[in-house]
Amino acid sequence: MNRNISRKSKIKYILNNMYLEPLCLYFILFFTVGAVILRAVVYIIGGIFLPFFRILFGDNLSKITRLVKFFISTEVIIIIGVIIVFIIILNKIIKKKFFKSLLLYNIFKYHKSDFKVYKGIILPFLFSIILILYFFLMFLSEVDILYLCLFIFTLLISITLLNYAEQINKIMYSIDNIAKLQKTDISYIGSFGFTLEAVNMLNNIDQNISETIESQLKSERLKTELITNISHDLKTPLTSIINYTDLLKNLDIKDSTALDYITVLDRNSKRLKVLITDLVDASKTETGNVNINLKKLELNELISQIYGDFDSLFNEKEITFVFDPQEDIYVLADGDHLGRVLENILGNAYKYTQEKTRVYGAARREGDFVIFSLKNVSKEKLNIEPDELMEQFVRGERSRHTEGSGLGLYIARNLMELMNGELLLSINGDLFEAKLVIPTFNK
Amino acid sequence: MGDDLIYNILVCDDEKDIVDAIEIYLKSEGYNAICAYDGMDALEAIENNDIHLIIIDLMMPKLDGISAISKIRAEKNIPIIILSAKSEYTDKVLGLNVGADDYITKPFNAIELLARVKSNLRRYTSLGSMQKEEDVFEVGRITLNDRTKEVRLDDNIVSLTPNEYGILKLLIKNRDRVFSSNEIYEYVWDQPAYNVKKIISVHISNLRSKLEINPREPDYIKSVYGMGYKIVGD
Repeated sequence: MNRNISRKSKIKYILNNMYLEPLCLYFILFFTVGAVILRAVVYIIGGIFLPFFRILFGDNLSKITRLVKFFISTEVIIIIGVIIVFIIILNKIIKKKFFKSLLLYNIFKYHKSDFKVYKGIILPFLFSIILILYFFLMFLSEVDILYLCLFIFTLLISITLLNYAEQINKIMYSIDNIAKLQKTDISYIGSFGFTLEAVNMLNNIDQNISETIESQLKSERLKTELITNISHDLKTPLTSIINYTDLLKNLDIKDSTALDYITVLDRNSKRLKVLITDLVDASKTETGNVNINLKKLELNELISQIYGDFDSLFNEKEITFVFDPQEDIYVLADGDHLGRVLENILGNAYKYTQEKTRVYGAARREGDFVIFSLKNVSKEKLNIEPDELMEQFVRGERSRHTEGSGLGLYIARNLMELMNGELLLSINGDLFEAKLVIPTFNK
Repeated sequence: MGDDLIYNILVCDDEKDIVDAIEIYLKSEGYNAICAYDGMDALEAIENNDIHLIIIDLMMPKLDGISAISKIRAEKNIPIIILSAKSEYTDKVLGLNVGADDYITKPFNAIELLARVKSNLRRYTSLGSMQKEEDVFEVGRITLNDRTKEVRLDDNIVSLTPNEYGILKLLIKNRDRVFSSNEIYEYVWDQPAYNVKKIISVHISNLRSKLEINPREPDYIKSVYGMGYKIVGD
């Protein structure tokens, strides 16, 4: 009983999961072989039991013999086979699985690009197949050495054609790999003639491309190193400027003009300090020359931690930071770098928000990402495209008299990208919004 | 601290202007500055003088700072403060590993420099002289006495609000342990925490401005970003 069930389900499984073409082939095999065997068995049984049947059926024997002969005739078996195949196909169509169960359809769907190459040789290939068959049949009927030679000749032509197509296919595959900057081993193509040349050329191209990329990386690294070294050299004279300005401030100077000049010196030397540090950071984040240590972090805690240092500054300008997190939101990010990004956009909000207004911060989940948005009302008219703001040395008011380096958002954007996230800015009238897209933490 | 003793501080940098500026600052605070302009100079000065603290640059001719520090450390235990334009994390770690006690990056702030000089001198001169009391907790320059409810910074009393005191006590008692905002609130306020992250961060910021030399780069009350806060130090 159990075995019956399992056999039934096995057949069902085969019917459901086998591609239609091989299934039909099996049926044809089953019915052709089956029909021959069936006929043989019936004739043997009929021969052995003929006297017995004669007694049993008497006069009707000739009718029954004709009936049995009819049922085991090739035509009837073919018709039965066709009907069964038809039922299976109908069943698949009703279940809307007809195309999916076709082997050809699947091959074309998933290996389409592999077949494109063969399209070009379809006509000559078919023609040579027909010639092969023709010469083969002629050879069979006449056993002539000429037909044998022609047969082998056409066979060779079609094999060569296939081989060519195959090699072009592999070359195309290699070009695709090179374009995707994947390491390709082209030498495996067994090649001769023009394909050998093509393979050599491809190898050269591959080598050239990797060399270019390598030298590009090297020059980027050198650039960062150069900027870092220059910044070290700049810091030494700057240290003197800052400290002697500080010493000047501490002197008992009565002249108000001199005091004004000292204030200007003080402000600008400090600005220069910020610029130099930010320049190094901008260059490092641009080339990805920073260590990224992704960890599970609670975003609301982090935002609050960064905000803590801005609280007194915001209070000075009577700006309220509206931020009321309800639940814990976990993200996968580098705490120090995400902290820096938040510092930059909060610092930006502090610098450019209209006094006595509110700054809104909120984090929410969206699919695989967490989005933190910070909205504020700009104190000045923003005549600038949001994307432009993230370029180097660009500021909203297109002037350079305010504090900061103009690199803050550029660094923030680079850092977000290095952490697989994004920084998006949008401007709607005076409403400015910065959005951080951060990957969520998934176990 | 013996007030009658004038501390000798060795300042070593290849940039004369910077050495001069530091000398002016140190003299204004009553220290005696001894100047050196390269690593060999510095070693010589240490041989010939009774030095109490060293401020040293890393990039110098003849003998660089790192080698000089390891040579000094092989013989002497005096506090060493590195003063360098290199601001990389790895540079700091290298400097502190060789045996320096503190690290200041150029361009430096005079107030910060003097505070660090004072703090390092105090630790050097009072090391071992303090006897441990039951309710007294100490981290670097900060001392919290839970019996008298006093917090001292380099021996000066700091006035804290009760909540700030509570937070400091919790963190200093459990040094190196990270507390989230919610945990801090539940311990200090003794109430269930609801939407308190902002409040805690503001309190922490205030605590830092009262206790740290540079509140933006705290030495003791550290933020563990996205997790909480902790106190570190020796």
